[in-house]
Amino acid sequence: MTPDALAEHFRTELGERVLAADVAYDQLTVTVDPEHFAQAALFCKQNLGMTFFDFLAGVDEREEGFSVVARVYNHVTRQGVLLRAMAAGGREAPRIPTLTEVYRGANWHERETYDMFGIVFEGHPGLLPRILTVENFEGWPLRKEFLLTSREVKPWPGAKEPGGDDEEAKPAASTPAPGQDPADRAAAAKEKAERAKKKAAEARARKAAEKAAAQGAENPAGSEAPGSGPAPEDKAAAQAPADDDSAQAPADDAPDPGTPEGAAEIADTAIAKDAAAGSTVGPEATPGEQAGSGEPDIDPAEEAHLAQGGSPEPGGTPGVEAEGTHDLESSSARPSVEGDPAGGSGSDADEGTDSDTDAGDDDE
Amino acid sequence: MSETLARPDAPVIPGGPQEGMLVEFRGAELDTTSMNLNVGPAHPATHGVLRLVIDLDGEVIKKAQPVIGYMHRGFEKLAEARDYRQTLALVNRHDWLSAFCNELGVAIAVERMMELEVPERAQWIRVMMAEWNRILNHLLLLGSYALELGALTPMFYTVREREDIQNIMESATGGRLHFSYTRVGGLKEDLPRGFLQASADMCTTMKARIEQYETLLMGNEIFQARTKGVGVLPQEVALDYGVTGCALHATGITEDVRVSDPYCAYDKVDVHVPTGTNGDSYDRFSCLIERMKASVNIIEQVLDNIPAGPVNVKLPKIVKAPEGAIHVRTENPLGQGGYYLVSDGQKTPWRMKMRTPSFSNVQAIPYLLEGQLMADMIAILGSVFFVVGDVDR
Repeated sequence: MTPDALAEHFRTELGERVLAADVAYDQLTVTVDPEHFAQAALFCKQNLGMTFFDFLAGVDEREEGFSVVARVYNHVTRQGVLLRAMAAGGREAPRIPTLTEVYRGANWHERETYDMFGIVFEGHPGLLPRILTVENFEGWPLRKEFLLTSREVKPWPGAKEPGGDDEEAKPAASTPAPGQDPADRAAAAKEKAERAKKKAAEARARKAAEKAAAQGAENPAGSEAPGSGPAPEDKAAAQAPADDDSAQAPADDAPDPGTPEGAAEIADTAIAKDAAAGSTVGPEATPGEQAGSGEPDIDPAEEAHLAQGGSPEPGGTPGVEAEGTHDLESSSARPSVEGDPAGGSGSDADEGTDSDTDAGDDDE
Repeated sequence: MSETLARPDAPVIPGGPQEGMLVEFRGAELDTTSMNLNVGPAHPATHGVLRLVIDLDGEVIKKAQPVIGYMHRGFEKLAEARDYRQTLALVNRHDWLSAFCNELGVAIAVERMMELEVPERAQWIRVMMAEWNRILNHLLLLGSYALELGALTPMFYTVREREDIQNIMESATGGRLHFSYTRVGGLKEDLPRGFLQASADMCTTMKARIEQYETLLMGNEIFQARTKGVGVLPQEVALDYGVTGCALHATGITEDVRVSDPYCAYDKVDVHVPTGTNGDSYDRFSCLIERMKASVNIIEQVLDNIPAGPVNVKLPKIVKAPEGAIHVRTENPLGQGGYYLVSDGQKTPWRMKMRTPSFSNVQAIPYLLEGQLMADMIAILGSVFFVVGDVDR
């Protein structure tokens, strides 16, 4: 049976309980009424012989709440289906019937989905204790309003994208630092501090340019916050050196020739300094700029609220937006700092990497 | 004498330790006490930080509860903050023994969404690398399983072979554990000179060596006594829990993504899927060894058929998967790996669910352990073949 024929079969057999049956990439996704989620799974198991339980996962669906996707498979006919249902209760109290009575294997997958999204599976034998996070963990990690801890603590330095469509973090090195050096050097008295200042100054200059061009330069990427879009002249300046023909090698492979001694390194120290001893820069920094050079303008109040790990407003829109901005903005910054010379995607992951390589070695 | 068999309800396997064997089990009339035993999270037999809370009645396991999450690193969240090229490096790491096979899944998902045509040569090299990775993985599991059962020597041999294979893979990828060789649209670079010859030589060596392991272990009476009829997993339970890999094949089900839903060049090679009949620890282990033979065979087919040509396609600087969702399965060494990738058209995944074989396999452990003797716990645990990093992600 082709996926299309299978879709038709679902429609005829389950009738109105099937809200949609889409075939994409030769895969059938059947969206069912959440009330009948377990019933649909039972139908797959009994009528279609899909006895193999593959996985179950949640997906953040923005304002609408969360959806749950489960895949079941018939190993004889080699047919599988992705069963999808929107959890009832929106973002505040998402809930959906459990599949554990149909498939034993759904147990842990549902516990994980509860742990990650806070979706309650009604009738599940025991969603607690939380399966992956620690028992006293607060928040639902895979919801979009939940920020990565490291991003909350420290804004990310360096280039935004290794591919280089965000030129914000590739500062035009020629931008003169407005005279603020002497006083600060006295305060910091270290070379690192000096670098930090330089970087901060660049950022300030850039920010000014941005603000000037803010209305005009609307970033095409939808999830970027307005104002994070780089100023056109910056873009042009930074695009030039990065614009080689190696499509596979993102720009972080080749150090930006326009930058004195590796923008990444400077950026790193700069931010570290800023975070640690912001006061040294303080006198000169205008309010709101200190938080991070090259950061998009994020409303401080909102930022603070999100940093609490706080749940979003009902409806969740602000959280989603802020997360998107924040994360995307900083997504690739770190890897470009420690860019892997071998290739673009070889750049490293941060939080997980160390611990798991270690563990890997242990296991070996 | 109260009982003749330690486990009267256990199925008697032909040729197994219980057949024709009269075990005098003295002391069964004595009272036993219940006991709660914590195994792990740092215990040598759990290879990794898997913790088991076991309720014992005397020597018999009444209930076993795996406690996972000690190695949870939030890979699914991290992936949402990384572009697709970086994600490839990320997915190398959750199952450190199957790095190449993991990255393959993500690359295929993005390629299918972008409708990229991956060059033929890259497809074949991917198959070869995936199979070398599979052998690497199985060698370690083979050695460590024997080690857990008290046979120290096989570990030395398998590590020796691992070293050779790692050298081969390192010559092409630059990595020994985390290869990061796949790229969206192809591979990092072509194979170095001499790679194919080295692979061919290693295939010859491996065939002889695998024979050695078999003689060393499979015929060993103690090994058989400890694994035959121990930890029997019935077919329907395996399917219900989503158990895959050797543990599923040992039950007699041949489901293997390389055959049922071929990716890369697997549709052009002959993939033999070894299966067992009893679904016990012995069968799982013998599937592991047979799979290595099958992998060597696949590599030889690749060596015979690998075409010349480019290994990469030109990509835009920013790789963006179009809006939509895709599910991609790959046959990882430990079982079926899967990525459910939801894209909102940006350069980072909106959601990337990692379906890891170990997670589902470990979920079946309570079923396997219930009613078994404590002494069999390690023989069962090891034969499910999991990596804790792959469980917790």
